Amino acid sequence: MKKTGLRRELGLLPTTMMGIGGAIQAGIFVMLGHAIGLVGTAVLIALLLCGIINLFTMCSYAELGAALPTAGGEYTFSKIAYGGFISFLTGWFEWISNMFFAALSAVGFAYIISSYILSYIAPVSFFTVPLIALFIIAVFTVVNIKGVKEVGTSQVVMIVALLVILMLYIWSGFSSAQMKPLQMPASTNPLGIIQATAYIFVVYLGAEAIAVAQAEVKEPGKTIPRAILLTGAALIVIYILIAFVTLSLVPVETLGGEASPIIFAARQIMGDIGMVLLVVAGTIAALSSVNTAIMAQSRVAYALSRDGYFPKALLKIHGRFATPHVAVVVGAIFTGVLAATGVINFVGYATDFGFIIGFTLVNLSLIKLRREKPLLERPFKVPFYPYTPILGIATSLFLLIFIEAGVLVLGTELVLVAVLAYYIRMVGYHRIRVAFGGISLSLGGFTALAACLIGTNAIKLGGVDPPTTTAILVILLLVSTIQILAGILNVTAKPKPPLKPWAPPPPRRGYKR
Amino acid sequence: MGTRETITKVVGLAQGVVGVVAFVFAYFLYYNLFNVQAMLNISARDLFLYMLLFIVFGFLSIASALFLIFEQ
Repeated sequence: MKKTGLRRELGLLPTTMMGIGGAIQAGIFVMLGHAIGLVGTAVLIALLLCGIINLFTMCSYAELGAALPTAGGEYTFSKIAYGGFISFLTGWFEWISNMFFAALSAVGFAYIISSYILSYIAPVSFFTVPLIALFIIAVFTVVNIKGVKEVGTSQVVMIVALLVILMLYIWSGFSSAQMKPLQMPASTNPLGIIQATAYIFVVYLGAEAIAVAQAEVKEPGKTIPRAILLTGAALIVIYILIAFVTLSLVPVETLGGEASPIIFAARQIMGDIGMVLLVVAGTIAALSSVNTAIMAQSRVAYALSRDGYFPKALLKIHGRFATPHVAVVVGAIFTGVLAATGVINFVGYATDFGFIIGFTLVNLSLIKLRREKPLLERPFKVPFYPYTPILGIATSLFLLIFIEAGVLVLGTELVLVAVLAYYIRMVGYHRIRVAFGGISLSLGGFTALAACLIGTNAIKLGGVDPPTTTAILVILLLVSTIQILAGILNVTAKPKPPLKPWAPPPPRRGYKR
Repeated sequence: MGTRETITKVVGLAQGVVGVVAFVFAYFLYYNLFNVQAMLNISARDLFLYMLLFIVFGFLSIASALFLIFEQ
């Protein structure tokens, strides 16, 4: 019988390339400037710290990937370790992180194009970056719906081209006469370094693409851990060399305000050809990440839908192209909304947030499986267990403290939405509806109380003029009425009648039992 | 459509609008559009607390409104 399904065809080199290609994206081209602005040359320390923090969790990916080399990556690990809500939460954050990642890459691409190509042709307006980002998301949505058969090969070619250009840049930098000895600052604020680490951590993300494709890796027990750890180490070397060359060529004060310090430095040493080469490298990096992330988010959404967590509509496969087109489009819409902000710092932090939560859940899955399934065959074991995964969790969560407050608010919202989505699917519609009715009643009661206290002058709004106070009072009364009415309607809603037990259809005329 | 269904849809819509307005107001507050921070005497220190309050309020209102609008 002919064997169907995924075939194990990827060796060590293509698997490692997939990891490196997944991680090198527009981030390193456009985010280095802000990081240099935060800590100057100490950005090298921040990059090293990021690499080490990343390696802690990559060790967990290596052990779990070698022991459970089936498709699905993080979602599969947590499904086997925990199941239920935790596995849903992992899938949820994997889905969201990939959308953030696609948005970040699209915005990074738009920055490079608008700063180094469009600005030479026409003046760049406030809307240029969001519009280019939206355009590129639309293009790759269509590409992903149509399904590119040779996308794997083209991705490898693009990554090789990208690495060659980056190596050429590093080599030109070291052989340039403009290279000056790098001066590290005499004293740097440690908090500033941690802040820069939290900001630039995103450049190491994406290497876990190996885990997503692990079902197609040859000799997974050997290849997956080697590829993951090689990727982690290679990224540290590549990024530190790039940053070192850039900082040695151009003064820190100049780089801090540049749209892309690497492209700026390349122009200094290689002239216009250098700039063109690095712009090409930046766009390749950004485009391949947008493509990979849109594809990855749609597959995660598909898996969550298959397991009953997401609506069944996301399971639809296109009749002609055989791709999960609804999942691709839904994810692309969310990605577009995020990219439309055009704020690279915000999207960068948001991507960090999503991946940090995902990393934490992977480390927790490793600890749980070590305890509960000690006999599971593990071709690779995390060294210094349990300290390595615990350090992975602690250092990742520590970085969350330094993430922009607005992103943390957004992250809290996303967890709330995840809880809601899970319980609506798993606990039952009516019970959740009654619970929301109760919440609405509480909100209504609280708003009415606030209105009452303001109306009777028990609370005085300091510094607010009387007409504004009256307007606030009227709004509060209106809102409390709506909330109380909504609460009553939700609490008193009748539950759906239970489904009738299945019974065989009545026999047709002339049919004899 | 019965009276209860009509009322449910109308209240759901109103609650949804309240939720969206809360979200939009959080956005106005963050970017200090129309000078709302000074108008309501909100200091920069308390800004994120107010934002969190409005966003959570908006989120809960929209979620509850969806139950009313898309009643099964």
